[in-house]
Order: sequence, then structure tokens, then C-alpha cells
Amino acid sequence: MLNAPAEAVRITVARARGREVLTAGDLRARVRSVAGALQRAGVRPGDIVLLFLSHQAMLIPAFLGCQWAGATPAYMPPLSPRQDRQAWLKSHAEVIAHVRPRAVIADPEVADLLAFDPEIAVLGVADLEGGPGPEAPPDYDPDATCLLQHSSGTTGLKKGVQLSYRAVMAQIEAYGAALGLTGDETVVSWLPVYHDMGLIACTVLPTVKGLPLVSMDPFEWLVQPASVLNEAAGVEQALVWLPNFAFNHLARHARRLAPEARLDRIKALIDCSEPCRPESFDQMLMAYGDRGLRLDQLQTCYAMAETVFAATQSRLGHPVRRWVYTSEGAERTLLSCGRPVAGTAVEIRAPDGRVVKEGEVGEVCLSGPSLFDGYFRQPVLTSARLRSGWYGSRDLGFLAEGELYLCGRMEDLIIVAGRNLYSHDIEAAMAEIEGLKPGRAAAFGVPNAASGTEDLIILTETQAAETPERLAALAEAVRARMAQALLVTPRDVMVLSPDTLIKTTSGKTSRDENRRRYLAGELTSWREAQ
Amino acid sequence: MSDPHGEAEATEAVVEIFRRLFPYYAGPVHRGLTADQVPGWDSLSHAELIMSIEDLHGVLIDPAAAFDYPDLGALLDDVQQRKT
Repeated sequence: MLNAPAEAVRITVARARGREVLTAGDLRARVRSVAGALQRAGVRPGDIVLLFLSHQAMLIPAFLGCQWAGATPAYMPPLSPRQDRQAWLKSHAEVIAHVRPRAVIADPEVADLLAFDPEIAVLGVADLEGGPGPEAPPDYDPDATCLLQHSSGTTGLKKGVQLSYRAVMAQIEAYGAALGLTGDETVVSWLPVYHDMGLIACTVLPTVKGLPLVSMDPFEWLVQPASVLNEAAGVEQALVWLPNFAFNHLARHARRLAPEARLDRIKALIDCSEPCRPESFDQMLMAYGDRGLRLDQLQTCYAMAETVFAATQSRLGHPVRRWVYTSEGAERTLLSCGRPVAGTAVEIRAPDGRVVKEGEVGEVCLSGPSLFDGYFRQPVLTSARLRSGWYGSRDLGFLAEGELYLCGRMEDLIIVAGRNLYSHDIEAAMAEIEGLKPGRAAAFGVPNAASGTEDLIILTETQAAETPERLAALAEAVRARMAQALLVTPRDVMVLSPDTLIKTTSGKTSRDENRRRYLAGELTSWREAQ
Repeated sequence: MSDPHGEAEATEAVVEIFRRLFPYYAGPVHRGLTADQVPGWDSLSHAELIMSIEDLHGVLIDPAAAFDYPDLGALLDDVQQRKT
């Protein structure tokens, strides 16, 4: 059942300073106590509860406890290390106002910040433990909202993807079949749970299917990348989902793998949430081939919150197919994202809505029982993206021999280490910086082969001619603004003289043309001017 | 470390690491540097910095505290303590 953890589940919360194991009994006891605490705080079935929790033993019980109380949980990004508290609150204020949760569950570092509305109960982890709770969850209603998942967009109102129990259950069954689950697998994850990969593949899937889960801290993983492989090597049939940059990060630090670790028994390392790059797979094989890693263990998946998670999955146990794609005379080797999971239909459509032939590029459109119900309280946006039971992903791709290949995007989306950033959000965030010309900015991504992800580049113009010192200060102001508002560090910021950026015929700054000039080295920043 | 203003230069080896990881930063590498002053100093490159300095000095930093250093100098001080 979806609103109650499976009997066999076992969660190991692995941290650098110790491990804690939650058996199914421990988990159920915690889930009940969370549900009881929520009820005493006034939470009723159908209410929304936002969870601002860092990696800890109560992370998953808190989520399941919301469902046990009949409420709808939504994981939200907790305060990150080094993040300014007020900036963090500001980044979530609009979502909180829009969602109007009945309660929030938060880390102690931010609980006081969230206590600004008497209508919203604020609970800390200590409030959730040990109390009595209901014996059972409410009757299972497949049409009730199972969870909200907020997009990892940047500024403005993040989209709350509304998912029913029916849709989530359909996904778990279909995706479990695509993975060929036998019940012998263990999920190993360092992924944040406010992201669909961490939430669905690495939290909901194991708790529903009763698979053991080893849950690691995302920030600890960053400085100990091989730790995820050490954990995976220590269990049977590990399943590990990773964004593409993680493959490069792992490959760079292969010598940190424990001397005794062998990777032969890992069932799959699944690349997802960023464009899957064949070079990243090749680097992994080079780095870990002598530890037993094989190409058929490296897999791909095409997933998004709007289909709960996986729309397609490569075939486990077989090397992922590669396709040489030619566009405008340039060849690129693409990794297949595999075939649609059971029940999901994939169509490639031209701009006029016509379904194109196999091999032709168009928008990837998806339909099936795992589709979301809409963006929470955003009917206009919902109707723009969800039409007649089909979701337009805005991703560009093609089908070849039944498998999906992705080759681009329809909008200016930049994916930095698995995080979605929209150009217009970044450009808008610079509007408040005094000395820069409003509306004259271009933010875009540039592939970084070394890191396996994209780098964020920002070009902007000044209001008037400035000294090199002033230009340097403005570039610093842009970086500070990005760090504060969007939690992102641009790889390069170029502050340019007035009227340097190319505009389109409609007067907008052309991202494509300015990106081309940047890559061609045709722009001169304050650094070169010095 | 007697450097209350964090202006002391980092060692040559640390500067070399810094230049490799942050090629877009042309300013002085001093102990008072913070992430928001350096282009590209995000969580991933911070982890690379930590691991490079671990390798340089042959020490292991506590992963649970790796993101708590307020500036470069605090990181280097911790490494120094672990060496002694």
C-alpha cells in the first residue's frame, strides 16, 4: 500500500559520524508518532504539510507520517550549508503563501523563521517523536493527492506537481517491472529527497516495494564520492540513481574507493535528470573497470515529476545503445534513454502537433497512468502543458528502433549538477543590481566535459561606461546576487559596455547569438580590458 | 594563525590548486577568501577543493564539517590542526 510502508523495508541512515538502522517496526512506530503529532497540531486529511528537513533518521518517517495522517506531504529544500537564512526564507516565501500548508516540519535552524503565520503550525523533529498516533492510515483513496513535488526552478513561483496515489502506484508498478525487481535489490542513495529521483526512485520505491535502503547525506557524498560505491559494493544487487555529473565526479576520484570494494554485484548505476553523456560512461569504465564495473551496469532513464518519475528506462543487463546524431553538420553520440515503461506512451510531435516519423526530431510528449493531475493551483500553466491527456515535456528528441534519444530543449533551461535553472529567472534576478542596464542580460549554459554537467555563464551590460574597478565590483555583485537568490555560482560573469549584447528583431537580448559570440571569444570583459 | 584580517597569502601549493579549480578567478588567493567572491566556487568545486587539499597534506577532513568553513583560512587551519 502506498500510504503505509511495506513490512520488509529497512532504512540505514548512513552518515560520516555514524549509522542508524530503522527496521520496518521502527519505521512504522515513527510514522505513527508523526501522524499523531500532526493531528494534535490540527492537521486534517487533505491538508498540506511542507517538510524542510536535512538528511536525518526522521526524514522519511516524517514524510510517511503525513500520509498516515491523511495529509499531503511535500519535501522542500532545507537550509544548505553556507546559505543565508533570510535568503533561504525568501526563496520559499512565495511557495508557502501559494500552498498555504496547515503545518511545516522543519530543522531547528529554520523553525523560528517559519513561525510567521499563526495559521501554520511549525513542528520540529523533537515534536514528532515518541507520542501516540493512529493505528492505521485513512482508507486508501487512489484519487487523493499523494504528494506535491516542487520543481527545482529558480526564482518566482516554483511549480507544485500534484500527484495522485493512483499515478504514483502506477509508476511504482511499471517502473519496478522495467527494473526487473526481484526483491533482492538494495537501493543506495545520496540524492536529496526534494528532487524526483531522490523522492520516487530512492524513497517511495523502496518503502512501497519493501527494498532495503541505504540513505546517505548529499553534502557528505560530495566530499566522499566513492562512499556511494563502497556502500553499493557491500550489498546485493544495488540500485543507484545518479545525475550525470556524479559519474564524472566518481570517475575523478576512483582511487578513493575502498581497497576491498568490488563492483561486480551492483545491479545498475542509472544516469538520470541531466543529459546522459557517453563520455561519462566511458570515464566510469576506465576508472572502475579493474574493480569489476561493466558497461551493462551503466544505465539510463528519462524521468520527470510530471510522470511521477520514469517515462523510459534502458534495458538492465544490456549496454545502453548509442546513436550518432547529426545536426547542422555536427556529429554527436547520444545515449539511448531506453523504451517507455509499461503503460506510458511516448510521441514525438512537430510544432503543429503532428506526430512525426521515427528518426525525426520533435517535442517529446508523454501520456499514461502516471501523469500528474496538474500544477497545484495553477490552472493556466496546467492547461498549457497538459492537453487531452498528453504532457508536452519541452524536451526535443526522436525515437529510433523503439528507443528514445534526447537531443535538446525547446526552452532556455540550464541544468547545473542536476538542478534546473531557467535563463529568464537568472536574468530577472539581476534586475535589482544598481549600475546594470535592466533587461540587458543573457544567461546560458555551456557544457563542461570535465564535470559532466553545464556551467552557468552570465553576460550583462552596464548603464554607462565604467572604470575597470567598477566593472569588477559589478561582476562581484552579480555573483553575490546569484548566490543569495538562486544558490548558484556562475562559472563566468562578463560585465560588458553598453550596447554590446546582440538583440533580436523584437528588441530582446538574443541568448543564442550572444552565446555564440561568447564561445567564439568575441566579447571583451573587464578582465581583458584591464 | 595570527592573521585577524585573513589577508595573508595561501601557500604556493594551495594557490596552484586554487588556480586549477577556479580558472576564472584572477585575484589574490588569500586566507580570507569566501565562496561568494570566487566565480565557480559552488558545492561541487568546494568538494574538489577539499579533496585536493586533503591529498596535498595527507589528511582527511570530517565530511560532516566540510561545508562549515567560513573562509579558506578556516579550512587551512583545520588541515593544519589535523596534521599536528
